Amino acid sequence: MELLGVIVGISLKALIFIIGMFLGAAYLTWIERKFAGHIQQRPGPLHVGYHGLLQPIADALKVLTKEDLVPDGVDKFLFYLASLMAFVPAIMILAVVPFGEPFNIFGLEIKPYITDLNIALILALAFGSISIYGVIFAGWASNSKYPMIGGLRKAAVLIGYEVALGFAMVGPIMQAGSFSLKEIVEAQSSYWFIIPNILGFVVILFAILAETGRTPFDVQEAEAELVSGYNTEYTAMKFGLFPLAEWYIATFVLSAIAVILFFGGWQPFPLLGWLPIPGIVWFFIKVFALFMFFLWVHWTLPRYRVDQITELAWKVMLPLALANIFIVALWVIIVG
Amino acid sequence: MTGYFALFIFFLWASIIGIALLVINRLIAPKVPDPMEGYTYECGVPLYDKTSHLSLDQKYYLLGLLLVLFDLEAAFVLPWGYIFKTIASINPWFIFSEMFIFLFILILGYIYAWKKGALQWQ
Repeated sequence: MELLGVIVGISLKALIFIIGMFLGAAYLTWIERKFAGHIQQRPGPLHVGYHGLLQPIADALKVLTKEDLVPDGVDKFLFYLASLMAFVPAIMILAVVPFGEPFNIFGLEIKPYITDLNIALILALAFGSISIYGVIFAGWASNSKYPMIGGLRKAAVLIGYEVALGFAMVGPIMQAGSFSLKEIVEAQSSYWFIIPNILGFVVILFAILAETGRTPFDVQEAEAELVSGYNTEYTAMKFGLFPLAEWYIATFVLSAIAVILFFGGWQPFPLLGWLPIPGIVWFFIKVFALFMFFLWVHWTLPRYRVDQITELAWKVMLPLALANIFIVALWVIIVG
Repeated sequence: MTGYFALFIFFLWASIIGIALLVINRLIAPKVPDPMEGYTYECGVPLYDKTSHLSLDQKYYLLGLLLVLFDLEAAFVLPWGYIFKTIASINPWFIFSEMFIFLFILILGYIYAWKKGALQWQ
């Protein structure tokens, strides 16, 4: 009976998180399209609802009611699995992201996170890597040349940035002495970990752009060369899950992880701690600032070639990440 | 254990919602068969080559091998980072030199790979 209660409680919370993320991601598409429109001096979505505010809902309905095409010669199981492999691990990162400290409403303690594990950061790293398999499976299963090349390119980019990302995360771990994201935030109450970790933050910015396939590094879809890359053969909801997972959910949750590691999570801005703003609001302000930074990069920079990207990962990002470990080690010994 | 249990339930719900979306799409979408609809993307002509599971020239074979090496290194560096602060308060130069001798050997190998041209897109 007690077990059932726990299951129902966790299920409710999980559903709130997942559906909230879905609606959030839907409106992130609206924000992105508006932002991209204004960058390119056009209005963006305008007609469905006030300034296109109902556009995400119209898009969702359209994607749900389109014909579900499966081309001949496709590996059907992998073809469907690829969509899920892109989507499920991306949203799983959300389970370990703490949005704030536990608070009380009407005597009921509410924890604004699903679970606080002592290996949360490693789990986030692992789920981030697994979600790449969605792209690679899609490339292989489609039985078409463009997706195949897209998937292989993604694999090439990934193996470079995975290493740099792993090493860049060591800095904040060393300063906090913990893998738990909640404890990492709590360790930043005096100053943010961006201070000695600036090189690590640069590496993580590049790695997030590469993992989520945003523009300077979007070689896996490169619409000018590969039609639409790994998702060329996908239609309807199978297709819809890819951009949803990669461009919105993954970018959002990885921004949240970066904010937790380097910008103090739900800690207020320095000198502004006296403002009566709850921690969750601070957290969302920071995550949105970082998310908008990624949009800004995406819509202003041209695409690099795939060989340039992998060489950047191995020849610049990896030494930077190792240098970051060295600097942080000295910082911890000297400053404490 | 409850932490991992919650993670597992979250995983179940995420999968259920993902599968539900795909199933709903399949149920409510119209089916209008078309003779050319089973073709994969090509210029609109019947396919010359029906399969594309061909072998491609892998231009990053050595990078793939290096990834295995460096990810193993990361597996050693992460636990070291975890205990760094605790031990640094007792004996800072011991834990510092211990890992950086290890990383120094790693960096020598890295420089060797660079000079050999393994980091190039071949």
